[in-house]
Amino acid sequence: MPAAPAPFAFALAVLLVLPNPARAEHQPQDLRLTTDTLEYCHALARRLESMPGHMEPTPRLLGQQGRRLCARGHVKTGIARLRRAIRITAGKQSDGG
Amino acid sequence: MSERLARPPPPRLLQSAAFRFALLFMVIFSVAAGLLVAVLWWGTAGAIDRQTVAAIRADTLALMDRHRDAGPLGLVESIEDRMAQDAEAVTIYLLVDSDGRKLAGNLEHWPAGIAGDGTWFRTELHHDGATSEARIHRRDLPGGLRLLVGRDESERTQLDIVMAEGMAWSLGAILMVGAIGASLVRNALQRRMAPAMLTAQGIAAGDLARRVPVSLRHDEFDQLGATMNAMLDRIEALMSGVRSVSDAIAHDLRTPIARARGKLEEALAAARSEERLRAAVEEGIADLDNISRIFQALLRIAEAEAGARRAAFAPLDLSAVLSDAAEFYEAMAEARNQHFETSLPEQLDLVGDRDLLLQAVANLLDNAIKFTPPGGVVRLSARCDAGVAEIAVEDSGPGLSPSDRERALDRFFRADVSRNTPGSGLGLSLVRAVAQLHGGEVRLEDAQPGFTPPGLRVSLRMPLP
Amino acid sequence: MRILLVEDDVEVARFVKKGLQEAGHTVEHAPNGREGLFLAASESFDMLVLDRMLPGGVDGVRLVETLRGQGNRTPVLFLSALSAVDERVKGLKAGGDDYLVKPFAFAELLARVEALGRRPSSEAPVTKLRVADLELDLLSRTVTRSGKRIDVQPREFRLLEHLMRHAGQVVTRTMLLEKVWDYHFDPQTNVIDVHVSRLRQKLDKGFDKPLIHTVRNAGYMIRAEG
Repeated sequence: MPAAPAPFAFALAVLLVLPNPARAEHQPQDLRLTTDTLEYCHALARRLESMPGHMEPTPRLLGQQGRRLCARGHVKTGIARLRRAIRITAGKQSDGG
Repeated sequence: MSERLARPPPPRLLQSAAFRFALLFMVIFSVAAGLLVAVLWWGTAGAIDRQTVAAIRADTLALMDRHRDAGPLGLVESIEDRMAQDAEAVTIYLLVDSDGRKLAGNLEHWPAGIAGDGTWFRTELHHDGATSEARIHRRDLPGGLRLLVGRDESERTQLDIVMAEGMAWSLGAILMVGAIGASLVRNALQRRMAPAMLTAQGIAAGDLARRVPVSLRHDEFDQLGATMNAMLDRIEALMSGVRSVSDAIAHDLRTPIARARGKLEEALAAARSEERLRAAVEEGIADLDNISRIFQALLRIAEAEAGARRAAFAPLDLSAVLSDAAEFYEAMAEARNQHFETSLPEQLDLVGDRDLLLQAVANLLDNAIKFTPPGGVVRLSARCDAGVAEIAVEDSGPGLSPSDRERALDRFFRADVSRNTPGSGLGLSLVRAVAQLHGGEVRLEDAQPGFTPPGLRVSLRMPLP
Repeated sequence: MRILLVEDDVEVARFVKKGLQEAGHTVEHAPNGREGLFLAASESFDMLVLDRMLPGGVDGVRLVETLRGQGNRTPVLFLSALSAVDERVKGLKAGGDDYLVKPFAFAELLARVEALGRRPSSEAPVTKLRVADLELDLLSRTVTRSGKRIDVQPREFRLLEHLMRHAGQVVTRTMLLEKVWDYHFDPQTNVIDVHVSRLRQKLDKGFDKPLIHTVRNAGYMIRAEG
C-alpha cells in the first residue's frame, strides 16, 4: 500500500486536532486528591454521626456499609456509600427544616 | 519494429488510472467520514465539555455568594458540605488563604504556575491510585482567599479513547476496502480496455481489417470502441481511395501513355520531313496534356470518393451555381445549333462543395452537348422535392442501352457509339463520386421513353440537410 | 523583367529559365528555398516564380510568408504539383499572387508571368479602358467602338475587361476560366473559344480591323493592329 500514508496522516490529523481545541492550556502537575483516603473515610463517618437524623434506616445502613467497606480496604466504594448517607440525611434535614 | 509493437506491460500500480481514480474516491470518502466524526464529536464529547464548564461556573458563583453572605467560615463549611455529598466523586475544590495555607478542599496543594483570577485550565490528577483529567476554574475572593473549583473529566476522556479507537478501526476499514476496490476497478477497466488495445495493436501491426468488438452494454467503452471503429472505417475508405487511384493509374493511364509513346517512336523512325516530325511532336504534347487531364480527373474522383473534400463543404445557393454553368455552356450549345433550356428555381440552398458540384454539372452538360446532334435539345433543370435536391440534365441524343447504363458510371466506360468522341470516360464516374460525397445518387434514364432516339436523362439526387 | 526562379528540378528550371530569357527577361535561379529566400530578401526582383515544394526546410509557402512578413510585395507565381483546390487556396493565402499546376505549357507560364509582372503599379481606379477605337467604360458598363455602342452581356463585359486590362499580352484560356468565371476545373472542351468568338463577332461586326487575336498554342490577345 504505497499510497496509504497520505490519507492515514490526514485521518490522524483529524483525530488530533478536532476533539479538543483547549489542549494548549494543559498544565502538567503532580496534583493529588485528598478525598480518596482512609482518613477522609473516617472524617465522613464522623460527619455523618454528627448529623441529626443519621439514625434513619437508610442513612444508618449506608453509613454502616461505608465504614465496613473502608475498614476492609474498599475505600472508594466506602466513601461513596458514606457520601450518599450524608446526602440523604442532609436532604431530609432541609426537607424537615 | 516488432519490439515496439509488443504488447505494453500493464501500468504500474501508481500509473494505473483506475487505481488513481479509486484512490481519489477513497480520499473523498475519508474526508466525508472525517466530517461525520467531527460532528459526532462535537455533539457528544463537546456537549459533555460544555456541561462540565456550566456546572463549574454555577458552583463557583454559588460559593462566591456564600462567601459574601457568610464569610470565610461559611465558605469552608459549604465546600466541606459539597465534598461530603459528592457521591459520584467528581468535584474538586481548594481554598487557600493569602499565605497559601489550605483552608478547605480535596486538592493536596495549590498547583504551580497557574494564571490569575478567572483562569480556566486542565490538569492531570491522581486519585484512587489512577490518573485522570480535570478541568479547573480559579477565582480570587476578597481578603486574599483563592478558590479553585473543578470537575473530574475521566468520563469524557473515556469517550475520547473510545471514539479514537473507533475512528482508527474505521480508517483501517476504509483503507482496506479502498485498496480492494481500487484493484477491482483497475482489473475491470483493464478487462474492458483489452479488446480496444488488442485491436489497436493489430492495426499498428498492419491488419487494417480488425475492429473493436462492441458489447450490448452501450457504455463509455462501447462508445469508445464504436468511435474507433468509425475512425477505422474512415481510414480504410481513404486507403482504398488511394489504392483505387493507384490501380486506375496502373491500368488506365498506361494505355494513353503507350499510345503516345508509340506515335512518337513511329515518327522518330519513319518521319520523312522535319515538318512531319514537328507535327508528331505537337501531337505527342497534346497526348501528354490529355494524360495529365485524366490524371487530374482521377485525383478529383479519389478526393471525392474518399470524402477528403468534405472539409470544403459550405452553404451555397445551387440555383446560382447552376445558372452560372448554364450561361457558360449555353454558348457552346448555341454554337452547335442546339436548343439549350433551363428550368431552375429562384433559390435552392444546399450545403456542399461548390467546385465539385460545378464540375459534376459541367461534365453532364459537356456530355449532353457532345452527344446531341445539331438541332437537338439540351435541358438543365433543378428542383427540390420532399427533402431531395435534384439536378437533371436531359439531351435528345442517342441515349444509352439498359446494359450500357449499368456500366456507365464505372471508370473509363465509353459506350461503343462514342469511341470517336473526345473525352476521358471519367465524366460520369466523377459525377457519381460527387453525388456520393453529398450523400446522394446518380440515376440514368431515357429522357423521352418510347421515342427514337430516346435521349438520356442523368439526374443527381442529393438529400437536403 | 528581373525574375527569380526557385525550382529544385534541374530540367524544369533549365527549360523555364531558357524560355523566360528568350522572352527577354533576366532570370536568376536558386535550387532550394534557403538560397531562394536569401536572394529574394537581399536583391531586388520584379517577380518570383516559386516551386511550392522545395527541399531544404524552406518550402515555397514558407518563403512567401517570410518575405511578406518583411514587407516585401514582389509578385509571386507558384508552380505546384499539388492541384487540389485547398492547396491553391493555401498558396494564395500565404501571399502568392497566382498558382500554376504542373505540368504546364510554357506559353501558359509566360502569359501568367507577364500578366503579373505588368500589373498597374498605381492602385488609382481606372474608369475607362481603351484599345484603338474600342472603349470600355467601367462606370456606365458600356462598350463603344468608334463611338458606336455595342451591346454585350455582363459576362462578355468581364471577359472584354480582362482582355483589355492585359492589352498587348497573351491571355490563356485557363487564365480566362479562372479570372472571368472563377472556375478551377477542366471544362474538357473549348467552351472558352466559343465565348471569345461570340464576343469577337460582336466587336468586329462592320469593322475591317479585328481586335481580338488568337495566339497559336497559347490563347488570346487584344491589341490595335500594328
